Amino acid sequence: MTRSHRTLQLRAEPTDEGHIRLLSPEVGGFTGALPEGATLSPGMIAGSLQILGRSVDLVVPAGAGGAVVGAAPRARVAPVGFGDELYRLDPEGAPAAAALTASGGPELEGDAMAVTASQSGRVWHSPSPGEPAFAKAGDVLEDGSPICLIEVMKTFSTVPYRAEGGLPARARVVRWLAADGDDVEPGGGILVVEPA
Amino acid sequence: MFRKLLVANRGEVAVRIARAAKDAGISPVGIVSTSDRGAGWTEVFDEVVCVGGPSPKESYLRPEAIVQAARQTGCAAVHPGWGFLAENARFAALCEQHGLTFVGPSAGTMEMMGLKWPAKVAMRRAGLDLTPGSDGLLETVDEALAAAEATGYPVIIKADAGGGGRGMRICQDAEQVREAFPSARAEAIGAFGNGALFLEKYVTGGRHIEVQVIGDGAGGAVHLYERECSIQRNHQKLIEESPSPALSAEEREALGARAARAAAAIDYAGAGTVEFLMPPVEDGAARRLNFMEMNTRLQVEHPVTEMVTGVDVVREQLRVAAGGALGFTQDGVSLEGHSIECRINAEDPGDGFRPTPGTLTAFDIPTDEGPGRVRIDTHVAAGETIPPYYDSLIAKVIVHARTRDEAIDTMIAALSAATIDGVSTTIPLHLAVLDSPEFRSGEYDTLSIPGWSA
Repeated sequence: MTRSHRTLQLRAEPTDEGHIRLLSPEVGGFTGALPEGATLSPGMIAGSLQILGRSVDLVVPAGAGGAVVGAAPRARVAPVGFGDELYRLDPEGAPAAAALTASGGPELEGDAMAVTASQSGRVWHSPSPGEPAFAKAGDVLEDGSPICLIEVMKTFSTVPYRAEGGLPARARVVRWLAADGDDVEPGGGILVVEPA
Repeated sequence: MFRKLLVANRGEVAVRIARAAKDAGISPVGIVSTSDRGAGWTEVFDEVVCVGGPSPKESYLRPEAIVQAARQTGCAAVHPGWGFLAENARFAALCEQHGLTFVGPSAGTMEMMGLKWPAKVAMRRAGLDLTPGSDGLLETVDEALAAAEATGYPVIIKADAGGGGRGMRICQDAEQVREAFPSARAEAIGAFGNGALFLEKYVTGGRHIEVQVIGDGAGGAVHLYERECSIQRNHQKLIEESPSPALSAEEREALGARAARAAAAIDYAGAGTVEFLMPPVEDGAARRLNFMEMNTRLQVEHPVTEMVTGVDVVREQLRVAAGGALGFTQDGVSLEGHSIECRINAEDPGDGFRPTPGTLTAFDIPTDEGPGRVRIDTHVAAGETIPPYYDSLIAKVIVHARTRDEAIDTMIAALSAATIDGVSTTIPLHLAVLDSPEFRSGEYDTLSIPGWSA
């Protein structure tokens, strides 16, 4: 099995009441669910599935958006099957300026925000194998702090933290979204941070 | 024993395994495709996980999704049933890699038996006869020609990784071998990524007789006698019976013992079937039973064996998989009476056996017809819909009686009294066979269906 970091689109299905159901695209442990009232828009990451030890981010598909009206499974890691309902959205209930991140990237619980990749490549947590990671949970990042290396076609470059697109000037690291060695797509989540 | 078992299959076999699990005190967990979600048969499970879309490759053929389903429901073991992933060594290895017991032999044994030539070499070493043919895999046309001359025409070239007839060529003379060898190789490479070929004597007709074995994985193996499976259409078995009307008591004991020894020789674990071909011979000539292949799984026709031996084959599979010893020894196995199974498929025998998915408006096969006992293995009931995506098997009718004649009479009585509406079934074909003098006499082979002119 490859260790590549993947994203999967949630499956959208309209209901008779004019709502949109977002269904699990895979069998797995659903985690990082957004709470009732949160607003989802296409391209956002709305939790992830743990599949055989791998994490796959769930992306809201084009044409689906709105306020979460049906609460997602409550367990921290909820076992779900293919086609199980993860969210029920009310397209009317979306507040006008509710998006947490200007980039339309991943949206997360509470004050949390995602630092996303600007290009596709492989994420490495530390400068070289065996060395400590650039960032770990609890660290505070400022504009320009190195976060990780990104490997694109065998070329490595350092990814700095940028306090833009709605991200705070000082951010505390909550957790990694991309595991060490994971592949990310443009807009794919790297880190979860909160205002420090 | 396991606490929870994932049944990685659907329909009739999934129900059969779930029942055996419950009998053993194991909680069965099922998987379904979106098309099977909510089907009546899924109620046999304590939990059900949907693993994907309707077509098998979107659901029942997805190792990762199925293993994840087993893990997140807390299952300790996975039973693959038959078909789908049942003989997929990679699936077995994936289960083991994620801490799940695969109910079946080791991935290595499955891989060996999945390739025709390694299987033949292993079984020849274990003392079974093979159909005469090449002494090994064939590298060149010249080697193929030499092997064909030594074997005698007609011969059949087969692909080591074969299946579905691909890479297979029947050759009547050297000219045809020269012509067929390169294209067979190319076809095998295209289909299986493996161009290894061998050849053997081409046999038409004969009888398909198989032996049920169960090994404990530690060099111990027993046999549960044979099943006669020569009533076939396009290599699909239609009617099976045990014991075979073709074998004498001495032949029967000898065949069973050889199959059990062969299974023991490869440290076989779990239930398996050793298939033999009895080629047609001139009157008076010695009869042979040549090894064809070994199926490393439960077979559709296992109930006839259960009826005549009283052994629950699925229960024994679970016992061995859980690391236990078999619940019986060879001395404890005896053969009582006669059993016949008819596979009831949703196909129209009056229209080229066209599959007939649809909704069952009536489904009743009486089990109180005599003189023998009737057992129905099925996952359907009136009101249920047969989806178009899967196998056409909707039920197996199994009878058990003191004698073969009484077994045939019981089957005729049960099938004649059956009411199945909404879809066409193969019951008219079964009744024609059962009524034929050839079937009644026990003299039949794989070439034609007695009582039925296709």
